[in-house]
Amino acid sequence: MLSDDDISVILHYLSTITEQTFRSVDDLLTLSTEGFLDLTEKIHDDALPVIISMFKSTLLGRELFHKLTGDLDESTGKRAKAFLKRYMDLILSQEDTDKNYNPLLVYLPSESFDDLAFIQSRQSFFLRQTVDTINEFLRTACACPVTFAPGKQEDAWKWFWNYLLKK
Amino acid sequence: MVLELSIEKMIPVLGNGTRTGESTESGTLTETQRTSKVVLFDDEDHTYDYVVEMLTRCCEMSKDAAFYCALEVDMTGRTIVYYGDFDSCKTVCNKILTYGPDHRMPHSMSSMNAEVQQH
Repeated sequence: MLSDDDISVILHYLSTITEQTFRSVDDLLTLSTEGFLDLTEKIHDDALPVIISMFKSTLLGRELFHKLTGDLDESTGKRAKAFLKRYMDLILSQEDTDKNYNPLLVYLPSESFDDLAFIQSRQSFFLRQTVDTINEFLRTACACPVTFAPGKQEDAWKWFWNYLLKK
Repeated sequence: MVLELSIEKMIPVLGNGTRTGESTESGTLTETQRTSKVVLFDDEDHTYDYVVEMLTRCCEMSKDAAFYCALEVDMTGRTIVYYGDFDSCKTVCNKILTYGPDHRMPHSMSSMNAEVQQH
């Protein structure tokens, strides 16, 4: 949750870039959708997620959401869609863009292998991966000599768990 | 009610997810087939990445549609992620409830909360 001081700083930033005066988050909601989209286009990428979270923090997220998805004409609808796309690109990690990316190596680091409760909480995550991803993980992180066949994620998990218990 | 209307409006724009049943391989769902819906609830234990990944897999949504739902659940506290008959909604809901914790957040220990609601 953002503090009142944080919100003051954000409102000051928005007032500066628009040469308007925003004393509260409610003032932002008095903008039309078009006015709000004009505003968002002036906001730096790094600041945008914080500003969106400010609406949630002040329990005005519903109003903002309706402003962006309510009755929009064609032009405003396109701009709102572009805004959502921009926000999506900012918010979501790019974890699936690297062909060599192995999520198990990232989210199950070997430093965590002594924390069995943590590892067990990631069991379903482990089982959701492809067997190729699992094989690479086990080979790299555990020097596993076994290559598991497609559909054998459960067997791979058992092997991994036994490996941890024997460590 | 207002939220449901907004979702209906945006889905054709944002993606081809099947959650509203607007267009499926077998054709348009009739009103009698859309007797139920799956509602997803917000919490502080899951990331946007998790919600998008989970909805694309459990509800077969496009990434854009899943992000739209993630934004709605974050901003408003709830979002409807699937429409259908009771049994299909139950299946989707169970997938969500058993999807597992968000590996990106160390303190995340469980799936998101969702429930089937009948019209």
